[in-house]
Amino acid sequence: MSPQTEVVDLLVIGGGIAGGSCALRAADCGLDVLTVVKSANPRNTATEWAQGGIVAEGDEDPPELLVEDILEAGDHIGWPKAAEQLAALGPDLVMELLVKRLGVPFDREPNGEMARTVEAAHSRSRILHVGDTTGYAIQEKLTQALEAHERIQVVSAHMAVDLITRSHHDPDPSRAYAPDRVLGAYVLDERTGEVKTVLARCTVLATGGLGHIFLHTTNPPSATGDGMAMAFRAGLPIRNLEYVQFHPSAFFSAQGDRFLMSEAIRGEGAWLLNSRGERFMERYAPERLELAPRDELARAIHEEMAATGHPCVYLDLANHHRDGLDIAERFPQISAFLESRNLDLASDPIPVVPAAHYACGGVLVDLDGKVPDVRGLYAVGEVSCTGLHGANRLASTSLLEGLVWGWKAGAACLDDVTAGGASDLDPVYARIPPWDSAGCEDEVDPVLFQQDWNSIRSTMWNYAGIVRTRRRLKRACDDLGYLGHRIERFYRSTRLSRELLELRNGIVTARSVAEAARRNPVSRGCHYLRD
Amino acid sequence: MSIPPTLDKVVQRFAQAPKDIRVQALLQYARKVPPLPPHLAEDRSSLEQVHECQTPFFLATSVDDDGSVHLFFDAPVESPTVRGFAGILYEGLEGATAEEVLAVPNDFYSPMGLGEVVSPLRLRGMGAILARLKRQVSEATGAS
Repeated sequence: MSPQTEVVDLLVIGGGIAGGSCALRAADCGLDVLTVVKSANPRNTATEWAQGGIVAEGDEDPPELLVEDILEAGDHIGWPKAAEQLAALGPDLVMELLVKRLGVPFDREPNGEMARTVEAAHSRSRILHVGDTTGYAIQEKLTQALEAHERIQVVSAHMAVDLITRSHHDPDPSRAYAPDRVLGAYVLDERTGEVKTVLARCTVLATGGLGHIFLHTTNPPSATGDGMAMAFRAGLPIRNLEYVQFHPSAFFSAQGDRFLMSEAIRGEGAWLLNSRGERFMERYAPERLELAPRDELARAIHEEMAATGHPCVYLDLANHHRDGLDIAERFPQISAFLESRNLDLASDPIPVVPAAHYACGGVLVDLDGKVPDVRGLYAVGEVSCTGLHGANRLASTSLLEGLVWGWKAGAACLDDVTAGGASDLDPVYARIPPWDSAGCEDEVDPVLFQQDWNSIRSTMWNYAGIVRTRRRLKRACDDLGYLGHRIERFYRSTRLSRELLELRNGIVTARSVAEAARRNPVSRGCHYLRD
Repeated sequence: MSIPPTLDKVVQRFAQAPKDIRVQALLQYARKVPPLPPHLAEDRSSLEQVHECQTPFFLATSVDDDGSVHLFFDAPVESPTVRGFAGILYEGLEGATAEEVLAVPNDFYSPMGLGEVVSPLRLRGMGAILARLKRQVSEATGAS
């Protein structure tokens, strides 16, 4: 084996709550874990960006009630067993791992009890939070614990290129007759440009979501659908990708920085106005107006932007709010953010757009996070499809899903490492060729990247986003198909970089979302078909 | 408008129970809904969906020659509160006369304190279930 090859028990790709809880559990079980994170700072994950909270147990809140809320939000195509597992294991795990072990400082009542809040479509007050920066607090403690664990090595600025599988990479003819197995991944060291061969007894995809394939998203820049694309290229099962959840109101600026404008602003009486100053919700939801459900709001805003040709609508709390409201006191974080953009929630209408928020689908897994029909591979968190979310996701369940499935996968993979003749893999490992970068010498032209990303994002936004039609989806599939062909050629001749890999993953995932939407003729949950 | 004694007993049981018992009681009623009889399970065309419920909830009624009403419900077991409504109506109204069913006030559940244990949206579903049930009974008796 070349010096660029290393063999580990467990390779975890991603360091958010799902990959993190998986790595911790596996290391607790005695496995040596390598966690690779593509960002330079391993804290820069989607978990870090989560504002809301994490579901725990409310008062008089038997698990059946949470299951009912989850399945109802998912329009009853979710998997009941997944919801039952989340409700059964989740609240205890939050207490044991997040509160007791990691010491996440969740907000408390004056009497010392955990403060629990209620969110849309929850029938109980059961959400724990740390102000409106819950994810940041969790990620901070989680990364500390990962870095401190003697069996875990965290390597940042390393991005997985592709999974190594027997069917693709083992030159031995017998591979065709054995069940397929994931053997690790080729991993790019972003600082040196070298590609290492990481061979692992077991591999975990924990790469997060895909928000950046859309023009507007609430996700961090790393959410380019990497895990879905790697799974697609490896021929693994992917489900429910057409169900992409959109948040109705994110702050809009030409610079592209997005910031969630909380639902509570509308709760305090703010109006939504289009660029002509019309309160357009009067036409879409005359009764509930700005308090209509999220998906209705997102669709209405999307239609208004299309009709007016203006890149955003406006959220006006300054001129429309309940009497006696002290805006700066009620919304300190948002006010501070807007101040940094020279805007004032108390005197200016705020530009907002709907934004891609969460992928309900992904790589199909079972209750342990194990990918079916292939050995040695798990997927946890947003990259996976556990069936929990069905056609739409209940608020504040994503962190908990990552925590529960990560934790379960961390123990389940022990079997893959120790049982079933894992040491028999050594001869297979010896046959895996190192990465071949011959012919990939062209330097990167940033203009090409920018233009390709613009095409992907606007195609997805307009044709495969909030409001879909058959014609739009056909057009999206055609255009993305052509672009995919161009990008793949580009990839084969250009020097590897994180930007190149993200573009290649982005186009694959965008095509998968558009194709999934085109195949599904039933308008349901966050897959909204107008015809 | 009046509530038949069997249904009133259920209403009073909830009204007097502390809040945590109410949740458990509702979940227990969810278990009391009998499965659909074979003729309805095999041919679902005579089941009416209650569209006001976000959960797929279906009901059917039949009225015997002697005027007694039979109720049939179909709701997912994973939706125990909505299914609990069905259990309450089944316990309280199965076998009642058509007149008794039609006389039940639309807001009979108000004193039960369910507003503290289920969301307003689901509570409105309960009203919608009763309304559709009464309309079916009214049509069946009007036609005979």
